[in-house]
Amino acid sequence: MEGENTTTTTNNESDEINYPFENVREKVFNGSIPIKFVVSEEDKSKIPNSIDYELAFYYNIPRCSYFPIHKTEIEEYFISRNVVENGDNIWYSYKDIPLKWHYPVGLLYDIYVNSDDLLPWEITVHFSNYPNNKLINIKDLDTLKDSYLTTLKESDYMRYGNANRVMCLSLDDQSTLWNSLCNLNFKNFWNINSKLLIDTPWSNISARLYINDNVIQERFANISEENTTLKDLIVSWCQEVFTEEEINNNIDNYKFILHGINISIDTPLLWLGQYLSYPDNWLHIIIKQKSS
Amino acid sequence: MVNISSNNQYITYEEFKNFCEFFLKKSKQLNYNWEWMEDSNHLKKTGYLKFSQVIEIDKKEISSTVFKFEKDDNLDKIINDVELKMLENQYDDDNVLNEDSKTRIIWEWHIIYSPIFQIPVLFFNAWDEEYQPIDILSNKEIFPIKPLYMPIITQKDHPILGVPYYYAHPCTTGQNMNMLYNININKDELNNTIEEINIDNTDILYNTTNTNENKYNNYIASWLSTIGLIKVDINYFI
Repeated sequence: MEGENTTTTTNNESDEINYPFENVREKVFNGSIPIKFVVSEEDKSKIPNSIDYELAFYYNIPRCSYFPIHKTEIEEYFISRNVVENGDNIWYSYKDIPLKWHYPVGLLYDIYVNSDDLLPWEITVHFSNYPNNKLINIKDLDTLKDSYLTTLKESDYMRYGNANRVMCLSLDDQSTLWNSLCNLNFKNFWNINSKLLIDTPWSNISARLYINDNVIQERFANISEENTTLKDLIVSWCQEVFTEEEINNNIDNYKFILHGINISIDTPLLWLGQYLSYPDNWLHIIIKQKSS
Repeated sequence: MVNISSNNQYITYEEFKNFCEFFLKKSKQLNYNWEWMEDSNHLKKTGYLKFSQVIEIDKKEISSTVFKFEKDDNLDKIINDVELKMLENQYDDDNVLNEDSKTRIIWEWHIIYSPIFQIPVLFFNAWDEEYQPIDILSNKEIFPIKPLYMPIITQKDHPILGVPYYYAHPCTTGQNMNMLYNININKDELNNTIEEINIDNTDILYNTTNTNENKYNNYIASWLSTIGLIKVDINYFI
């Protein structure tokens, strides 16, 4: 018994030394965005005459969450006010851009919203004319769950050259992972997700860059060295976008956004992957030109 | 001509591009309209192979579960109108009867390199005569050919165009290509088979598979034939 206790203590201490940034993950996981949902122009005629105030639903959505997870709360507000009978064809847009339901809400915010825009984030909610040309069809929450697990497998494959870690999760673990993401339970989520991230070295970084309307996703294998930084990744992936000279001299003209944070281009890449990945275990980094 | 970088089934984007070039050359000889596409709107000049076809089917083969929505501008990005007119004219020239019971499906097939799995992945979409996208998952019987084993199919954003397409899951692609190309591993098996069927002249078999050129240049055609959703002419292999 005594021996066991000693071991446990040592483990805890070494955990703290080895993982001094543990609370970074929790903070990122729990971050949220206040959102104001307003009815689209084409659905406005459905608002009953008895409603003589501006109809808007205010809701706080976790940055790492997805819109379909909060569908019930959002549609309920409008159903209970007799605007619609159901939210079967619900979709969202911002500045006329349909919002992809399979992107984390925080990622959508970082892609489309300028940093000087005011909160809450005003989003248009649509109850008809689902834009099948622009948005993937969604039947129910299981469609999102499947999409999430596929993305998770892809990130596993990227880091380790196979998807064994995700495939070997028990069904219980899989549903705990998914349910704790839906219910925003950090502890339960990371109990499982740590199994998918903790082993190093990684053979590749699971990262995607977003520049304007473009998504860049390639392979970047040289992450074994601790001093490989985000800059190395940008230089490697963005040769067609900016020259190396431009990156060296004008890097201050650009900002690199992850979870709403402007991150330094000198941040070690492996650290980013381990501490600032989204719950799908991808680094979704947005590159924007600073407004002059 | 093309050397594969490693001893496994995985290929790099540059290799993919070279294999596509070979496939295009062969397609031209055989009169199949595959094209190499690069999206000018995309910052990276990542390319893919594209094939369009118009298939006539019985109206009753397609259920009413076609997505309901209005046409919008973004469609131009998916199919450009000129191309569609071209396809239509081609169709009219064929003097096929416009019977009421028939309807036309417009298919697009894209062969795209996956940087994650390091293999090609087949993306596709189908539209009805009004150019509305068809819910393929509810209409699996409309495929131009019926695959022996239906691959797992899901909707996903097109990696280059960024709009919804369907794709065949690449889960068995690695194994298939491994079986096709890792001749060394299967050599014993192969020899046994040859003995069994009493072929004396094993040289013929090895000569056709051993050189890197013959072995890998047909990568795209070989891979496409393993998917089973689109016809691959036997002449690609002769």
